[in-house]
Amino acid sequence: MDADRGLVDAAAAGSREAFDELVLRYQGPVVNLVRAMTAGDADAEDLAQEAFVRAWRGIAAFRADSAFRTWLFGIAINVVRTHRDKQARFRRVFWSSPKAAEVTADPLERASADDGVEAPLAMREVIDRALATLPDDMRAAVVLRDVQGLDYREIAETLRVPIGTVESRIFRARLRLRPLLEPLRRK
Amino acid sequence: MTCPAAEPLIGRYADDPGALAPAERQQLERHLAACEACRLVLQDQRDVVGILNARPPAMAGPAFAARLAVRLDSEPRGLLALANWRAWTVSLTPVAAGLVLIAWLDAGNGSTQREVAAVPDTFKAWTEANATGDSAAVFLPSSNGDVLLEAVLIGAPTPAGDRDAR
Repeated sequence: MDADRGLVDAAAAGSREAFDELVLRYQGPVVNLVRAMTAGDADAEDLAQEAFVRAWRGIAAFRADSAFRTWLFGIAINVVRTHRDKQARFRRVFWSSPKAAEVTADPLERASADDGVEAPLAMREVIDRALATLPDDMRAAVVLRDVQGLDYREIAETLRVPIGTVESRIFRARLRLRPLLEPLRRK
Repeated sequence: MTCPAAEPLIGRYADDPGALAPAERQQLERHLAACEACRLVLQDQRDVVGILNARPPAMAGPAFAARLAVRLDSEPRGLLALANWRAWTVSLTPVAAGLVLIAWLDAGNGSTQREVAAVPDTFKAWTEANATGDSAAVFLPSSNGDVLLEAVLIGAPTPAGDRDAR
């Protein structure tokens, strides 16, 4: 039984209060998902907001055969994909360089800071940069599993692919990530 | 079990061994006991899982919910939402596809059943009156019953000045 069912039903009937409660429940996981999918893109919060806006628009048509969480994550992943496609088109047209956030100093150096704030942020940056090297499909699967903690069935539901495909994507994604995350393993 | 057959299972075994069926798990464990390469792959998978699980989560900013509430307030609901053309275009796609299909089928029937309309005498008279030595107009009945005028130029068109001089 979906723990969000009561709130989802009320929101589907038009209750903003119920939807606001769902926002409070999922704003953290959605922002975290979007950041992991976009390598800390400066637009990450805006994209997370867009995901909630689309969820609000579509919640009346949301069907009970899937969990609200997987449905919402699916929307967020689609928002990220659309955003990336737009960015890619823009770069093709204008030959703009990657955003400043993508070319800042090596986060591993900052990870050595021992102030309890800088090191975790730098670790996240290293991981997100490694994730950004993966093809979209692999990245979505491994982020949903190893960052968001969804089980394989939920991931298959979110991405609308068979479980065997999810297993394969996660396995191959980890193989690719392994050398990129080596510096963190040594720490 | 071969290494290629073991690989898809290794990923899942690395983070959720209980998800494998008992027989599958037993086979995989037997293979791992005998295959060092696959044991290394399993260790790599576990290393990555450990690092990704330890990734410090990103939090929503303190104003996230308030900012979103403002956006949601401006979203149309109820009858106003009907004015949302995006919703319309998406939800009416199957209807539009159905109408196109019906129109296509109807057009197919029309081309075989309708009678071809005759070319009106007025048009014929006009054509003969305006024909010149180097051009002609031909009326062709079209497949949907309308009269289709096709001007077929034979040779170079006569300049307007030459025609007036004649």
